Amino acid sequence: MEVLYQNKLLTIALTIAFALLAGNFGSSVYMLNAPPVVVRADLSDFKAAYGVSPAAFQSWFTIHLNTGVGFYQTIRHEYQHYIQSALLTPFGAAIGYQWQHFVLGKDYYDNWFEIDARRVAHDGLNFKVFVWNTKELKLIMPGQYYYDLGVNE
Amino acid sequence: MENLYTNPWVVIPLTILYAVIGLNFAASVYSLNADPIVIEIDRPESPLGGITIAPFIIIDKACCSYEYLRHEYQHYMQQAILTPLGFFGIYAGEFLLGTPYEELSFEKEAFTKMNDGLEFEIFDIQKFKKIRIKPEEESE
Repeated sequence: MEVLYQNKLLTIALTIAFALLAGNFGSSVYMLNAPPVVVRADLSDFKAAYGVSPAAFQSWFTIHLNTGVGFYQTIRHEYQHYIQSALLTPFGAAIGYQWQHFVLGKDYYDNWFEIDARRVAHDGLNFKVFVWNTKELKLIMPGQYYYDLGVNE
Repeated sequence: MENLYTNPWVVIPLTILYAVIGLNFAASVYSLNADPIVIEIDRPESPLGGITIAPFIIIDKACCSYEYLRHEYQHYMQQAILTPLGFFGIYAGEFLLGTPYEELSFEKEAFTKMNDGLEFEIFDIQKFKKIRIKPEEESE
């Protein structure tokens, strides 16, 4: 065992792998118990899953909103992806999502993760998000338009 | 999914499980790159000379010789590579299958290395300093 322990290459590789796994499970602990961090930014040059330029996307414990986007349904859709990542861990959800895409050949609308997120877009759930740009906790409710969410006055 | 996420009977066990797994990998990251943290205890009535739960080695003062520390250091390396949960999973599995203590693969390896003369460093938490462990030297 000490031969493996003193092998620099193996130690570095294991350190990276274990650090990523620690971060993955640590993120889930946060995500299961705390709100997502919403970041408002210009996403016009950004490409998300399936190569689309998104109005919004979820990544790890953040939800990114493009400029001018503010429908409840959009934020609720991304919040559902946040819930999926919290329960399955970020790696688990990402692997599941890409499995649907590349292995099962499902297109965007047939991907189970997207079906699940579309299903709840109008379910009326109230939830909190932490808005990174304005550093405030905000309650998201149906029937509201959040175009100014994260926009500094 | 949202039904599970809002159910505390799901969220609390998952939080504990993920926290334990996360700490398990974090302990390995530390153990792969840093010296063990040694805690000396004075428990003469205890049958255990020492126990390693990475990144800690808890050792009885009476057993703080090179051989004992080297034995525990081997367990420290085993846990660094396999992660503490991986180590204890295999250890418990072998034990539950009826393997006697001395024949457990991790113990066998640690016993064979006790006198191999390897020099290594530990961090003594009580003295709050690094100590180099050499054969034939009692730890201070």
